[in-house]
Amino acid sequence: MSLPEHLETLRTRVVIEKDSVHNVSSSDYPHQYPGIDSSWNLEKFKEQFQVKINRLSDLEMEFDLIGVDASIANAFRRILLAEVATMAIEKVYVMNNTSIIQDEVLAHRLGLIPIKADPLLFDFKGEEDGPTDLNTIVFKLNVKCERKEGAPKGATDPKDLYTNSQVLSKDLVWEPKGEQAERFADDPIRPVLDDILIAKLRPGQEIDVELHCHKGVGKEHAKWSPVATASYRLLPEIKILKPITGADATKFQKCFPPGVIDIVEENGEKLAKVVNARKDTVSREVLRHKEFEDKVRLTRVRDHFIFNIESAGAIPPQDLFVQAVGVLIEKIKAIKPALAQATGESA
Amino acid sequence: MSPAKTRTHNEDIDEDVSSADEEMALEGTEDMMETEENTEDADADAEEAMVPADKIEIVAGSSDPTCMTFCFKEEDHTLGNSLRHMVMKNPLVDYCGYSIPHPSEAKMNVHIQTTDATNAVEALNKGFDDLTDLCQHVISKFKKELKNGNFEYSPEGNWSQN
Repeated sequence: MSLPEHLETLRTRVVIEKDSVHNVSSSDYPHQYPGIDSSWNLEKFKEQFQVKINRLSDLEMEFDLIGVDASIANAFRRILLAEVATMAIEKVYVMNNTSIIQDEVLAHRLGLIPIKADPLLFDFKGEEDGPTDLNTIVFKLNVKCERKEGAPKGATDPKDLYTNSQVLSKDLVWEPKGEQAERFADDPIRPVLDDILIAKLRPGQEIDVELHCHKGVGKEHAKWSPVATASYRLLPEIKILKPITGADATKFQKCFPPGVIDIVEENGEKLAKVVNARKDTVSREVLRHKEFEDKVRLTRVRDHFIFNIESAGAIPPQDLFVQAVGVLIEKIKAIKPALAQATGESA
Repeated sequence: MSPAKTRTHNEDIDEDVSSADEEMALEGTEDMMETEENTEDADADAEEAMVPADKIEIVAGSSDPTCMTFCFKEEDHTLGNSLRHMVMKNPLVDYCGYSIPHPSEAKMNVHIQTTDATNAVEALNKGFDDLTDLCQHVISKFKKELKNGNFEYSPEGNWSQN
């Protein structure tokens, strides 16, 4: 049994009006719609759920998640931002710092440098734990700025005049401890990028620090967040209710980004057709014009998420998503015994 | 639905979980995913040991087993909202809602009210199981899709604009 159209819209679409967005929260729960069984059914979910990967690069990916609720998609997004572990500089031991950057500012800047090391190969360091080769990565940063001998006369560029006028992330030197040299022989630990400016120095100034990286998560400090961004948007949908023809068709087309609306000739007349609603930014420009009132309906598909993940570089984007979902599974796995304990039942 | 029926229902779910596990294990035997999964499992064991005894507390109220509030420590909207959704998907549940009473306290409350055919603890457990099933399927589907390779790949991210 199918629902009448207005109820189906209520169930599956977010409706976008000129000055409001309504029908936002999902209502697809048991006993809500006559003749529709919304109760959880794994087999049904397996039939309906789709993943479509659109594009992938070393740092970025876009994919569609179709057939899940916003609460689930949002949980994945939140975990990507705040609960997938990475390695970051946490302790800075300053032997010498005569640069104009204060110790604490320097330490903060160092902390934000993305470190290319697989976090799955490390343990979290507890408060009481001492540093070991399993929970700590050590870098040394020792640079001194000096006048260059034989610098060209009349040179003004500090790079020509001095050595180490800039301290860059490539100046970090990894010091393998214990078995680390062996374990990471194929993929030595290093900053993700070589050209991150840490400080500027002038002759006589020096930075000599030892850096300890620990494993952590983004909810403690953003430096551990494995992503630059992780976001989703709902798939836009444009429905033309009454034919839009002639000069109006051109005007209609201009209300959307290029590639959304096409104009076709039909019986010697121009006719607006939706070709790719996905590219729409849902600016709602079309709803500002009187002539299109009652002719178009803008909606978004409530269970179609266009996910975008941009990695900070430590973990490839495709692994990030798998790890994020894994984090949610582990979270539940860890909580279940606690529930059994709280209710006084055996697990 | 009678309580006896509910129990059979839960057994079905348990079977599903194990079959999903097998599916994952089978996939894991191929390529690099294996090592990754092993380390994940190791992490899980460590985490399980770390979970404090008072992770969940039952908020005092009536002694009615069909109407209970659970207080989760160190949890937020991530688990709260997704769990609420899965519990609400259970037809034997009358009401489920979650709240974070105060932003500076790392606590999250889940309230569940059920019909007489089940009870709040059972509904919460089913919610956990269903959410796990869902996540496992999402992972396996995502990996399958990655392996299919039916997408645009560019190391630098110079994709065609279509």
